[in-house]
Amino acid sequence: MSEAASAATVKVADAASRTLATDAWRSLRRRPDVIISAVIIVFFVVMAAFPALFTSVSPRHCVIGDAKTKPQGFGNEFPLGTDSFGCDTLAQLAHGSRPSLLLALVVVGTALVIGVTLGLLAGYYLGWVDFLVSRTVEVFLVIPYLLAAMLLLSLFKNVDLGSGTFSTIMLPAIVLTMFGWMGYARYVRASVLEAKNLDYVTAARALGASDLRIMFRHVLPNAIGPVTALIPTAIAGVIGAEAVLAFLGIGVRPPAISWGIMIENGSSWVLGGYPHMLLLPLGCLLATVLSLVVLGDALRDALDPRLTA
Amino acid sequence: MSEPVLEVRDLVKHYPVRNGLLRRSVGAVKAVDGVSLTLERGKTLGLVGESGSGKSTLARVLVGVETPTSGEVLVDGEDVTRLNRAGRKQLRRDVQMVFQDPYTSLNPRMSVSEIVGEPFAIHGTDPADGRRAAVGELLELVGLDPDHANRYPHQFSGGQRQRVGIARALALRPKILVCDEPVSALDVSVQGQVINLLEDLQAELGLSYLFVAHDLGVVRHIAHDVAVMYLGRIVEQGREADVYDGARHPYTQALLSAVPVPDPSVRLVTASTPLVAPASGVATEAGAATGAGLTGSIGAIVLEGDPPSPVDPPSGCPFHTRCWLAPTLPEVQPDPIPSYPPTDRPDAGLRLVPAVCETDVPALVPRPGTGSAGAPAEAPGGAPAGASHVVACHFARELVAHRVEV
Amino acid sequence: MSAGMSSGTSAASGTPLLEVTDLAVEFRTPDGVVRAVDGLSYRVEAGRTLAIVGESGSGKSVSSLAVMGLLPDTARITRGSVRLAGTDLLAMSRKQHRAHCGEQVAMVFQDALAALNPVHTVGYQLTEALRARRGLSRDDARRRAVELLDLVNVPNAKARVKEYPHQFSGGMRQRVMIASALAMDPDVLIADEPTTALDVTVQAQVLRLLAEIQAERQMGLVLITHDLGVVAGVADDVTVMYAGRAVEQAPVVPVYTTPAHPYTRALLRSIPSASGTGRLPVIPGRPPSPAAMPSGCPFHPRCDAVRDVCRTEVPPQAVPAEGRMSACHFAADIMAGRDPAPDGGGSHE
Repeated sequence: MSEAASAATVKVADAASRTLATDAWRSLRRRPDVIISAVIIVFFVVMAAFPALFTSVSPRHCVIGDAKTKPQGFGNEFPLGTDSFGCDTLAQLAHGSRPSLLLALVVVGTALVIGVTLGLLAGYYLGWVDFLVSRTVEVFLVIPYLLAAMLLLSLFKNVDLGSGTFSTIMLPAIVLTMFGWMGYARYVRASVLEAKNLDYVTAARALGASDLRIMFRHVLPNAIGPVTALIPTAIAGVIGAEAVLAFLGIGVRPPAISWGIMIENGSSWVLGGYPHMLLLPLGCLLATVLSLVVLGDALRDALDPRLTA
Repeated sequence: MSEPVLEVRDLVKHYPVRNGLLRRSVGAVKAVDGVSLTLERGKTLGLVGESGSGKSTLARVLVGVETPTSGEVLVDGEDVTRLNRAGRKQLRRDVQMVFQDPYTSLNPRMSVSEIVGEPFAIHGTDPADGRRAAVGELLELVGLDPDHANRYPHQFSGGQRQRVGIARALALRPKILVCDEPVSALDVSVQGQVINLLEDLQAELGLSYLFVAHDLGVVRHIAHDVAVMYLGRIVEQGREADVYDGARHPYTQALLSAVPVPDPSVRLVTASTPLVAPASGVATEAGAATGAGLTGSIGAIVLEGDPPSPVDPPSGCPFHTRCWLAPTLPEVQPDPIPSYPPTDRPDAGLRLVPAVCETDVPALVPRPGTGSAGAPAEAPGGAPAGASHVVACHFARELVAHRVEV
Repeated sequence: MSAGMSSGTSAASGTPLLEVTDLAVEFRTPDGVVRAVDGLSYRVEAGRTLAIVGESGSGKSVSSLAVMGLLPDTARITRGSVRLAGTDLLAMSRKQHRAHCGEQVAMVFQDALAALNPVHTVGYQLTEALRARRGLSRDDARRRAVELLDLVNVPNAKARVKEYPHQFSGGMRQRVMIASALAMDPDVLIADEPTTALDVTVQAQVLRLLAEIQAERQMGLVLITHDLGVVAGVADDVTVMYAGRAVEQAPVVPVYTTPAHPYTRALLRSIPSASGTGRLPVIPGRPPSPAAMPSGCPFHPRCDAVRDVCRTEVPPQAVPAEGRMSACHFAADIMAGRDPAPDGGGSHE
């Protein structure tokens, strides 16, 4: 950036003291794409939390005689149709949102924490720490996760985990988390390697900053950028992967329903004249993910001081 | 005479080069290979050298970012290389650094007030009036408006960012500032502002500077003493006037001869010009205030090739492979065995230099020159206090100025 | 065939090899249209070196990119002509422009590592143009590459031709770039900060090389730099740029001894090596950004000889003496070393 270019960005002095957070909020709330995305996310979160608001029918109430009904529109008995077993699609969507979204949240959140921490430590300390972490990453990358999933299934075959919300997603959560952190670790490690040689990190060390401070205050905020772009697609990946696991019997525990399962079931009927069985859950998934992409990008840009002002 | 604020004795910093699965050490980058110098209180020592000279590594060791392989660093008489972790943290308060690149020396995600206030946060020492007031004071000290403290680095120009960096370095009231090329990345018209600021601060706060730079003009202006580095060693050191006007080491002479000066009568010489030989020309008017005054032109002393790598420094005197003086000396003997692994030059192995240049590392000692009474009284290796002019060359001599025929 | 091989190397008398007239370049930015170069004129003669001096934002690099046809798509040349041996390059299509360039005008950049492709050998890159444009065979091209490396004093050229850019040191890479620029025997060589990133001793070597090659081939050399020491040592003519315009043009000696523009004068004073100890006289403020150009004379906010007229009227391109140009309302006064008359009077030239 040339002298002239940065001179162009100097603004007139502003008396009010503004923090990055208030600036971010102000710029975000004005963007229409951010507002729409936020609304969509809120919508689905509410759906996940209170499915009863959206449907009074139980998703398990399946009458085979009603199977494969096309969507009839709101106000009718089956507003969004039924699936091949006669279960109400709307009810399934509403009740299936919670396991899917919760699973995605738990898996991505946990994998993120694990991956970022390991990547940070590996990149910062190098040496044997890096050796251990990198070899671990490689091992996990090589193991086919479906195989591990089946192993886990056989271990837990006769264990009763209860029927609470968390217990329904625990097995897929464990598997997907175990095999979901490696990408973050590698990205963060690469970014850390780059960031830690910058002058401002050296300056912090020259000031006597502790390693912890340097890692979390200087290196991490500047290294984490690429990782945040991964998150929305990771969420989509989790929901889809859960469907595959469901096929193996290690997905969301029946009789619970999830979007992933709906997508799996519906995909065999899409050409048979009943596309709604696939398109509706897929649509919800896409809407969620795209909204997250928009929100994620907007948030990242809003919090980057170089792009504000 | 009070003791110097900083004294460095035989400092060595080698970086091991590791290879193979078991990371065996196969060699070392000898970045700093035995450096001794002193910095007087309230003065500026200019450290000049080209790439590979080790000056940046030396700066980093002094600030505590790197640990030396051997040698001593005494700050106010106390050896800081022997300190434990807590002691080193304390050291940070005495020696701070100003960086070269205004665009990477400030964390882009921190506001200026956070950046300048970080030293207080790290050491847990908030001043009496509160951190914000202290930050404001520091910003004013460097000529910035305290109201801009909440802004981010990208909103400032390069020169202003350097000032922020200086403010940050001053927060803990250090005794010594190590400035690593602080103005090279700035426009010429802005360089002067920062240089003036540094000089003002030195006068006001009694700071001592170690000013690392490759720009000999800037060093000449700001430094009281100058040390010239080559391949990890100091080859010449003395008062600024002594080194610039009476350089005795052939490398210093070559360096000064290569520096362009803003004087159109001092032109670049080309191949048709004979090489400068010392002590053989006619002395002309002393005149020119810069090193090119030695020869009246730029580039009269030609150094072939590039500096050797610090991984594989030459034996004996590190400069002997490029020395322009050595082959002209009467002590030269024909040496049929190549003394140094062949470089790009096909005739490098046959380069004739005096045997002592290949075998003995010259010590940094005072040398007799024109006008000084000259018996080297100090024992080799014992670097005397900054008052004298010391040179590390077996055949150091002053270049008698003469005009080169173009 | 280059026109204008002037018989002597005295002041601008022969037909110039390269003549830029009233060049203006604009950029489209998110904040609107920004003018990076605003009316630049200069000429380059055979065997002479023109130095273009300026700081960041002065437009010096943009102007040479315009000459070479290397401007990005967001840039537009809004007026002016670039005459190479009489033919206006800007009147041609982009393709024709590029064809002319490389043949008759070549450019050397600052960062040799970035300008050279790391995955091709040096020999390949040196002869790329030769093989593409002149249809040289592989062997002929290889021979020519070795010749070129020899020309720029790279030792052991035969072996080094097969090496990759990263195997060369900074100074050597710069020589390779010069060699590749010379491959097509250009009449004019534009060097954009060729030695800024190099050590001082290596800089001297590279500058010598350029000077020798220029003398040998009677090339015109345009040297873009911010280093007034290099200019003094190497240039025959000087153009000082500020805020996209040429503010002073003169042969090299008068520029230093009797500058005719306050900016040149202030710049010379602020160089650390030239002044003794004590406070450096500095130019307050900083160069304006093209997006926020001051009214009237672009230098007036920082000028130590500013008068009322400077704030409102753009200065003309005054000719205070033969062969000299200064874009200052008070060029004659500055050149004579006196301050302009206080407001209310004032001599314009």
